[in-house]
This record gives sequence, C-alpha cells and structure tokens, in this order.
Amino acid sequence: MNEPTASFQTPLEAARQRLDLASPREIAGLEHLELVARGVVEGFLIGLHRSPYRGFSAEFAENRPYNRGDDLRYADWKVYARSDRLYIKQFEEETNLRAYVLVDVSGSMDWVSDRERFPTKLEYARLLAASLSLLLMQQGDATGLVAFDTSIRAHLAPRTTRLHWRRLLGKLGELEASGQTEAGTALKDVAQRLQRRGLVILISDLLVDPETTRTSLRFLRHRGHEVLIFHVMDPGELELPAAGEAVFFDPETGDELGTNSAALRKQYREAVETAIAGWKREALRNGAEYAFLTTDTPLGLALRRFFRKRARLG
Amino acid sequence: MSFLYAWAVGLTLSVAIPLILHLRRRNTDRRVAFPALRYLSRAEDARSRSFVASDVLLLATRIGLLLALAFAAAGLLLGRGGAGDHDPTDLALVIDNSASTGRLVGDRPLFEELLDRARQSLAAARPEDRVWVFPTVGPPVAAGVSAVRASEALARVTLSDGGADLVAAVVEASSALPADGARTREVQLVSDLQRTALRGPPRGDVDGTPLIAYLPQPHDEPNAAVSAVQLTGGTTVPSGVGHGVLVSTALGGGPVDDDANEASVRLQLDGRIAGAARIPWGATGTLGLPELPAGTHEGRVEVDPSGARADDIRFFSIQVVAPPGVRFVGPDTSFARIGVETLRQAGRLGASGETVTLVDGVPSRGIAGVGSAESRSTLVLIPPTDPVDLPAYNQVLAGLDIGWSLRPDPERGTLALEEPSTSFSLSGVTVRERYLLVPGAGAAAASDSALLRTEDGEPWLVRTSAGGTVALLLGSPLVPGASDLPTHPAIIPFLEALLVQWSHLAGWPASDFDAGVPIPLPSWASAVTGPDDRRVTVEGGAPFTGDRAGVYRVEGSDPRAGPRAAHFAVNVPADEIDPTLIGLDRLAELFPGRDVVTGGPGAGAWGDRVFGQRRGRDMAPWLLGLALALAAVELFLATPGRAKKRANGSGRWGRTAGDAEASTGTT
Repeated sequence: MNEPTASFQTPLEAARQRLDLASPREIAGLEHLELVARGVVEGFLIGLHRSPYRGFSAEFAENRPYNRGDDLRYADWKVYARSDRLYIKQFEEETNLRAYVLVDVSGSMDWVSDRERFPTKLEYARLLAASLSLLLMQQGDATGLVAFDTSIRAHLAPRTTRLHWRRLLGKLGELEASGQTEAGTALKDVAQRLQRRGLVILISDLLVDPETTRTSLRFLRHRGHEVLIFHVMDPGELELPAAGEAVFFDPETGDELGTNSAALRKQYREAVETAIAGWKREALRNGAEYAFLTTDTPLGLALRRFFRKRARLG
Repeated sequence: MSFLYAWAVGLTLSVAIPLILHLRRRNTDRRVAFPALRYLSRAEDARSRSFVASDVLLLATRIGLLLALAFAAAGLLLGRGGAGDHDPTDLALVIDNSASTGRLVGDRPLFEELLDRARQSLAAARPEDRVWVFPTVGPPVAAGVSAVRASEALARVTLSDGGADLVAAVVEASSALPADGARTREVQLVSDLQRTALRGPPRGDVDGTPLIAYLPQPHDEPNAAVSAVQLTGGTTVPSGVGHGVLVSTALGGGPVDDDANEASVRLQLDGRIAGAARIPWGATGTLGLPELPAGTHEGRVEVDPSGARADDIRFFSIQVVAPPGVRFVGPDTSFARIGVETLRQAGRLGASGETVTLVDGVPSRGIAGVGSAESRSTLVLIPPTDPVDLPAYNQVLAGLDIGWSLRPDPERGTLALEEPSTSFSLSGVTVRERYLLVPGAGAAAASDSALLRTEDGEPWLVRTSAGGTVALLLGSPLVPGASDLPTHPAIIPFLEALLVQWSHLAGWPASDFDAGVPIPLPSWASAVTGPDDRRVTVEGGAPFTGDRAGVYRVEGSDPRAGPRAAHFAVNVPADEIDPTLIGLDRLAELFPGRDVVTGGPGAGAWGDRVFGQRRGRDMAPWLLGLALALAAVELFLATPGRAKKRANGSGRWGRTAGDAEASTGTT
C-alpha cells in the first residue's frame, strides 16, 4: 500500500522550476534577487537546450560542477578520474564586449495599475536588468549598470566577475523611483564612458522627451554601439483607466488633465499605438533593437529577444 | 404647463447642470494618477479636433434624463395629469341630440362626433365616479350610475328633431348633482353650441359647478331650411273654399351664394306633388292648395337638402270639414249678425243647421233662448254692451254651467290685442272697453285656454267646456265703442276663426307643434300614432312629446260625440336652423358664477379639458421608462466598465501570459 506523499516546496523552489516563464508579479514578490535572477536565466537556458557556459579565452580560471547541457569538451577529466565527479573547466575570459544596462528610475516607473496582478515597472526592470546582466556575464561580457532619471543616479562600471554581479544586484536593489526622466543625459554619459564598441541596453517606459532620446540613440549608434531598447509599460497604460470623468495627473511631472475617460478610449488607444509605432520606427531607422514589454510578460520572453540580439553580435 | 410652480422651474433649470459640467469638462472630485498622461493629452487633442458624436450623445442623454425626471415629477405639481387622473367626481353629461346636430361635418353627422366625445369622457371616468346623462331632447337616461352603465345609457340616445335649450339643460344637470360637498362636481356639455340654443337671460347657479363645453368645428356652409309653414285658412278649413300655404325659407349661417339666392320649394300633399315655387331665401311665399275633399290631409314643404336635413322639410296637417251651421241669437243690428251673414253668403258657413250658436248680449229669453243642451254643441258668447246687463249675463253663464264670469274693469283703457296664432292679423286693433274674464271655482281646467289676450295679459277670448259644451267667451262686446274690431277688416277673418277654427270643429289642434316640446293632448285622446307608425297609449289631457318631425294621429273617444280622431304636425323648431356658434364671451355670460371652459374641436383638445379638477399624475409611466432608458444609455456611455470589458475581450491591447509571447512587439 503506497503511503500518500506530500510535496513541500518553498515558493522559491516552486518558482525556480521555470522562473523564466513565471508571472513577473510572483517572482517580483520573492526575496533574494540573486537567486531569482539565476532561476530566470537557468530556466531560460534550459529552454534553449544548450548551455551558454563556455568561455571565450583559453586561460583556465577555475572549475565548477557540471550542469546539464554543458559542453563536454570542457569537462575536467582529470578531476573526474580522481573524484568521480564531473567538473567543467572555466577560463578567464577575454571579452571584447562591454555592456551597459540602463535602468530608468524616474517617478513614472513606480506606477502600477493593479498591484495584485502586476509588478511596478521598476520592479520589472530590476528583474530584467539582473537577469540580463547575469546572462551577459555568464557569456563573458563585462556588464555595467546605469540608473537614471534626469541625471545619473547610480553607476557601476562594466566587469565580468561574480562579485561584480553581486554588487550590481546590490545597486539594483537600492534603486528607488523618483523624479522626472531625461534619458538623453544618461545615454550620452554612457556613450562617453564606452570607449570601445559595446552594447547598451535601455530599460524604460520611454515617458521621456522623444527628440532628446532619439538624438542620443543616434549618437550611440554613430559611435558604433549596439543598442537594445526594452520599452516597458504597465498593461493598465495600454488602455485608459475606467475612471469616467476625473482629473488625471502625472505623478512624475504633476501635470493635470480633466476629462472623461469614457469619451477618449478610442483616441487614447490610437495615441499609444502611434507612440509605440514611432519608437519602433525610430529604432529601426537607427539600427537599434526595440522590444515592447508589458509588466505581465514573463522574463524568459524578454531574454529570448536579448539572446537573439547577443547571438548576432557574436 | 404653467411655470407658476417654483419647483417645476427649479427642476427644469437643473437641465443646465450637465450643460455646465459638459462645457467645463471638469470633475474635481476624482483624481487619478496616470503617468501616461502625454498619451491622454494627445487623445484629448485628437478628440477636440473632431466631432465626437458619443460625447454629444452623452450630453443629450443627461439632459434628456433630467428633463424626463423633471417633467415626471412636475406632473404631481402641475396638477395636469391625464383625464383619468382626477378626484372622485359627480359628472353630469349633457348630450345635445337636437335637430341642429344632424348637420354633416365631413361625411358624418355632428351628432356622431358628439357621441364620440361623450364616450371619450366616460372612458376617462374612474370607477368611483358617478354619472348623470341628460339628452337635451328627452328625459335623462342615467342618474348617478357608473361610467359603464352610463355608456350603455348613452347608446340609447338618438338624434331627434327637437330643439335644445342648452342653458336650461345645463341648469337642470347641475341641480341633479348631489350637493354633499364631498365629491368634485362637473357638468360637461357636448353640443354644437348653437347660438340660438343658448338664449335667455344669464342663469347663475347657486353651486357654481364648473361647465366644460365642447367646441365643435365651426360650420363652413349655410344651412337652408323651411322655417315656417302656415295654412291661410288654419288647420281646419271648410270644404269648398280655396286655401293656400304660406312658406317661409331661411338660410342660417354662412354667406349666401349669389347664384342660388332663391329656394326651390316643393309642396307635397298626401304623398303627391301639389305645387312648387322659387322663393328668395328669408322671404315668404304662398303656394295654393287644391280644393280638397272633407277629411284629414297630410302635407309637407321641402327645399333641397343642405346642412341639417331635418329642417329642410316642414310638415302640416289640414282638416277639411263641412262648413258649420251657425244660429245667431241677438239683436238684428248686431255687427256679429252682419258678419255671420257675410260669411254664409261667401259659402264659408253652412246654410243651415245649428252646429254653432252665436249669442250676442243677454238672450231675451234667458238661458232658454240659447237652446236645449242636446241641440247645442258650441256656444260663442259676446258680452252685453251695457254693464247693467252684466249680472243677467253672468246668470246665463251660470245656467249653462260655464265656470267663468265677467266683471267690470274700472281700470280699463285703450289696449292692443295680442296677435292670434292663426292666419289673420289683429294688428292695429285696440280695445277700449272690456270685462274681466274671471274663472270661478272649478273653472280654468286643463282644457280651458285663453285664445286671445290684451296687451296687459288679461284673457280676452277664452275657450272652455262644461257639461259637454264648448263655449267661447269674449271679453268685449262687438260694438265700435268697445273696440276697433267691428269696423276693422279683420272682423270677418276673426268671426270665421271664432266660428270655424276655434269652435268645436277646430278645437284641436290650432296649429303645428315643435318637436321635443310637450303637447297638451285633448281630453278624449287615448293613443297617438307617430310618423313611424309607432302607436303609443296616452292619457287624455296629458302632455305628449313628439321628438320626430312628421304628422301624428291622435285617437280617442268623446263621451258625447263618440270616437274621435285628429292629426297634428310636429316640426323642427325654427331656432334649430341657424348653426352659428355662440361667442365664447356670451357663453360665459350665460353662466355667471361658474367656471366655463371650452375644449375642442377634436378628441385631443376635449380630453385636455374634461375632468378639470385633476390631481396630477401619480407619475407618468412613460416618462419614468424614458428616464430609466436614458440612465442605461448614460451608464453605457460614461461608465468605466465598458472599456475594461472590451480590453479584456477581443481588444487589441488585451494580453495574457499565454499569448504574451506571440504579442510581444519587436523590430
């Protein structure tokens, strides 16, 4: 007679089964950004059926336990012979790619339409930035961080070490949304700091001055940098809130507009569509990548967009 | 609706609220944080550049909602609910069925329209209402009954040929309503408001019951009619003498067409055309009657149909009798004797016989000189010239069982005589000496009547009967000193009327009658047969009302003369000819002390006026329904849930975790 079995899993364990496809709201509520980001990346990599854990240089650095999907060409057979355990040799990478993850921390990023269903745009951006940076560093790319609103709020130069990633996570965890947005300043600052060809990943709701931002994007492209834009919006921003007649105000700027939402739904949808299409068109014109995300989009899907871009960069 | 009510004004003015809100586009009570304000601002700009039907619809919906609510609520305040929204009412419904309502309006008689309006009123009555129904011609048909019963009674009211006295009808209807003060009272007059039917002095009512009068469509063409027919020799004429018919035409209301300013008049006698003539409208012409054999003859005079048909025809009856024999008792030099001889020589009296005994003064042999009771049938008694003989004269009267006596008149002066109802005129005849005719005990019975009066109203010629004897009593001797009559050309027609028409041969009827007016039947009458051959049993001497124009036959039995019969004609009253509406000011003047309201023509205007003491609508159901419908539309247009549902359904921006990958945009 079989005894009934019970499965006890912590929320983290449960989420790690495929955190890349889990609801962003669920994983944003979990602590330990490091573990969450790892879970997201690992789940994403499992979905790809091959390991990205391979170095780009020949200088040995350390061993690490074998993970399913690792390339057996880098297995340390000597250690296996001695200990009967399979380790993968890791090499000190000599990357030729420096990446910056730019996170918008303006006041608008703290807005959420439904706290029960969605994370804030900043929480989503934080998870996305952590996952992207881990993925970059696991591929040997030096990754830095810039948080900005109207100015640079936090800066971390690109590195490739695990310690650096933890420092990056620490910076991400400290970010608070406030102030207005001026993406152009941050982009130009990054352009100045990237001396070599690099990758710039912008995570923002793009409630910015379009002209300044476009100018900065063109400047980055002119300097030979690759640009990937993650346009993050709350699902509640796609459709006008069902508020009827009300005074709408921008928490970031304090601007107000009294109107009847019922009478503007169609026009609002058209305005949002136009804006998204405009950003997409601008990115295409400048050779940048553009990905539109809502805060209910599983992170694995965002990483897939990134992975394709990274693969093209080599 | 009146705007005397402040609440109604306030409710109506509240319509401005959504207008103001709409124009200002501001709702400061609700603030919503929304970072994508720039998109909203662009949407607002886009909308302001184009006409937004839904926005206007929303505004119209809100205004309509408030208006519907305002008018629904105002129904209570304004007190003008539907006709059915009234307090328990005692309703007197006067329905005009007189001849004038027979005129055609369009393709149907006005009377049918009046019936429709009456039914409309009864349909608006509430179950607790009590209804009295009064036809203007005929007795009441319902008293204090429910509207349903009143409708059944109304179905029995038919168009008559009689005339209406609308003032009297309204007063009678008002007085029939109970005056307990607990219920609302109202008189509704459904009539043609004919000017000639609203006559007489103002009739104020003690109760002041409101009068709601139907105002029909004014007539648009004149009404042709035969206004009068008079037989030149009276209704009873001796045979062998030529007579004629005096025909008067009338054109009531409306302009006269120059091309048809003469009436084409036709005379029928016993169902055959007996003559025709063209007589100008409003004039009188004479059509000769052929020599007729003894007996009763029925005739009619008619013009071409126009307006009301009933007054286009006028009936008459003529009785041709053998000339009566007259026995004269009195002095040889009497003017009366000369007149009798003249009539006899002209063949207007019988050569012999003793049908009528004419006594001038006091008979020398007293009552014996008059003759035996068996030999006399009618007495014509002329008083003595000398007042000294008056006691002896009165003794003769008493001996003849005549319940009248004569008394000297100390106040006598020169007095004119009223015109007789026969074909001759007494115009210019004055009376200088007269005796007062005084009825004694037992006199002045129903059959007694004053055939002529002096201008002060005193009887001058009385017809009475006693002991089977008909007696005609004159108030003055026929001598030049007493009156102008002996030397006046009217003396011969007067004597002829006295001996032929007013004697027992022509005792009844003396003329035709108006339809709808009670007719005093002779004492011997026991049955009347109408023009429709309907025979009704009557009581002798009782009044009879014929409401159909035509010739009637009255039958009966005289205890002394055996079976008797007579004919009489009933015609449309001349007052019914002119269809002109009364002026509304005059209508109000006729009923001082009461509210007079008119409504019409048509059902709508009438329905707005009847049951004027309304308590207002409880709440107009259709207005409430409209308000609810508008509220639903308003919710649909303005409630946030509408867009949310669309977004979660098939909207472009809807997304779930399952389809997120497919919908994630990228370049």
